[in-house]
Amino acid sequence: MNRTEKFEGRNLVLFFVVAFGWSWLLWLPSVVITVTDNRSLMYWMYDVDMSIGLGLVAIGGVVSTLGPLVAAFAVTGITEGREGVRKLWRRFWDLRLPGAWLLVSLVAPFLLVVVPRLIVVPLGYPLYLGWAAQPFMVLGWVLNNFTRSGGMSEEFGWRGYALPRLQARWSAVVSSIVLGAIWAVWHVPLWFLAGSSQQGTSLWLFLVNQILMSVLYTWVANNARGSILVAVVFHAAANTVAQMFPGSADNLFYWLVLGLTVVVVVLVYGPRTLMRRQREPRAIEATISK
Amino acid sequence: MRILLADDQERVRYGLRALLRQQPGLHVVGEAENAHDLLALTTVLHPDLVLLDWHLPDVPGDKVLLSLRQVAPELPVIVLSGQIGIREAALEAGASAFFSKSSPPDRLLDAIRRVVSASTDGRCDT
Repeated sequence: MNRTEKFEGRNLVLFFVVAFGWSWLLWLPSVVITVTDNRSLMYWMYDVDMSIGLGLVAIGGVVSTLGPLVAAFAVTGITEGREGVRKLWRRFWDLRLPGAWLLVSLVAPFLLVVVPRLIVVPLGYPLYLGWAAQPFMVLGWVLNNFTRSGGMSEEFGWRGYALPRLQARWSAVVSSIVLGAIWAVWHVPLWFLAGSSQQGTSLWLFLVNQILMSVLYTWVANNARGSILVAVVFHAAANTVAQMFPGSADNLFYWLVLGLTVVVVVLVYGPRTLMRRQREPRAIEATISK
Repeated sequence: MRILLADDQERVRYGLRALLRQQPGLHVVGEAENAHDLLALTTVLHPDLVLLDWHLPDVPGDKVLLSLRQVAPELPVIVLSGQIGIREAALEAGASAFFSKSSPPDRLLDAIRRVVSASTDGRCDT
């Protein structure tokens, strides 16, 4: 199997420029207010200046996370036209995907976080189930994470547009590492944004986390025939469980479970495509036997 | 347009690659030497078109087409062969178009354009 040297480099660079440009420019005013006044934009507006201009900036902040989605559709539209846009959308809305992988994308993020957390409970670490008293709050998180914060807003771009093009040049694992690093860097302004979940946490641990998780995203997406819906569900589940059980980065067992899971996935499925080799002969044999 | 090549002969893939590289808007995003690799690459690369040699070493052409339909039902496939006699079999098996390897290369470009314009359900003989 060859991956040709012909690489859609220009289109991919354009995609990343638009994705980063959209999000970083719209985050910029909030970052400036945080850095200069150590307050969030909303708090600053309420407390200092309730102007229409700042209101527009706040609306910009709400749609700031849509950078990868906007970039994916814009670059696809420019380079591949309406048909390309239709195909990109179909990869989200095509329900003929392997159902088992939809289940994996829903359950795996919870296991990766909850299992290490349960391991340390006997050692005296509390489980933090504050959200259980307010289940509607979790529903809000799920909706937000599925649409604006991670799911649809990012996965049309990262796994929908970028991943197939990176895999045209590199193996699935190398593509995942490259994409994971870029994905992590895209989040960097959030460390300078008051109220974000990243503020005050370790950027380096986040980078490692995104690279390891990126391998799992590729594994799930490739085995679900590139389904963007599966990637969106995986992302929404991962963000939601991180909100339900914050502080995983401080738990050594989290890193052990995550690292071990990635190693097992790569060994079992193979670094080249992260898809089981047996899948293809089975598909062929199934059609032969018809 | 992102194109995936499937042919076990390196010189054929090289020729196709050289031909397509000169065309604006056409990108060869991957090459497969056999049906197993073709199916794997189709899944991870999401090409817009496959140029398929009918005589891959591991699986007969009609079975490859059926498997491609399972993985990517709407993916247009242009079958390539040196044997003009298999044209009907290829079209019957679901190929979007057939191209004889003995035909001039510009006719392949015509076929690609026609398949693109006909979208997923168009067929054309070349």
